[in-house]
Amino acid sequence: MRCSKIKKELSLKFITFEKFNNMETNDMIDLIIKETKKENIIVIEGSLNSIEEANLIQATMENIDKKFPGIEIANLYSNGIENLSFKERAKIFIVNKLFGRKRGLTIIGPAKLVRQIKRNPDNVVLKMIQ
Amino acid sequence: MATNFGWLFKINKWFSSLFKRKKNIKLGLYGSTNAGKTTLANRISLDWLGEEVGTVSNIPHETRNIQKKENIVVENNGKKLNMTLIDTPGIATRIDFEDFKKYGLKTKEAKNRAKEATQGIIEAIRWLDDMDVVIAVMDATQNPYTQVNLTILGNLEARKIPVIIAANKIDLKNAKVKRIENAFPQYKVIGISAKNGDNIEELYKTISDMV
Repeated sequence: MRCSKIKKELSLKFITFEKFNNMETNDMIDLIIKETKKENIIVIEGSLNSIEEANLIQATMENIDKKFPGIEIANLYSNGIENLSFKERAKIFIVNKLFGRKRGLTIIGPAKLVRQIKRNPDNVVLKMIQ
Repeated sequence: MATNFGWLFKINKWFSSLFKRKKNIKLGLYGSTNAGKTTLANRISLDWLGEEVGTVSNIPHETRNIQKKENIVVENNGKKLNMTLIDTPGIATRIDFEDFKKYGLKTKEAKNRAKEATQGIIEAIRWLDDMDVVIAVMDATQNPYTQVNLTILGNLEARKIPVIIAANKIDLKNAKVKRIENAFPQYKVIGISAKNGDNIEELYKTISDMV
């Protein structure tokens, strides 16, 4: 069994929207890989766009080895805009135009610790590896 | 053995309509692991060429390379349609070689499979830009609202690539096509069984309407 030692502490790295908004995509991806490799869970007060998500998956694949089996990610804003009303979409459009990146919530955990991030209508469940 | 050849007429009709609009299309199959992409690729290829594209397995990441069928060429009234069918490795955010060992693979085999799978995913994402139409294959027995599905659909939308969702495995009792329709109301969702060929004609018709 690879995970012989039970991790007693769980560290959550929080990235504010202000920090997120000022980061280049590559820097953001590097940070996510670095922190998840250190077995930290990352909570971003913002939303990666689809292209960034794909880039993150590619970067994750490039980094996978026997110690780092990848990530689990839930971008709670991802593709959700299509289901919003015109008024809500207009509001988000204005905020994005003013502030650049999308507000939202992204949770990323190391696959070594997090088995699955399950989205429910009103909560998010992180299923941990025992 | 089916005795009704109405499906042949439908396929011919679909092909004729496809031919009129665009001569060459690249049709990509994208989705999570074990959604049934290769089973669907085999079904399409068998329908048109009489041969399979790749092997199918219940061990995740059986398809670890891009698999193409380039020679789907049909002549219609002196004109040719060339459709390239592209079966891609399943997209995932995690690959743990330990998981493969649960399927009986030896450590070395499992590590090799994991390494090849990571390269396959990188390659599948690179290929996104080359597609003309994509069938996003989802397992209708599973929760469709996953990050991988959202990322695939988001990337196709960002690239303005037409997409159809194939809600696969409707032959299984616990398949719920409605759940996929509810999760992605903005997309055309077609319930199919790639394994049995159920509703495949409807999928062909939808592709033809799109290109």
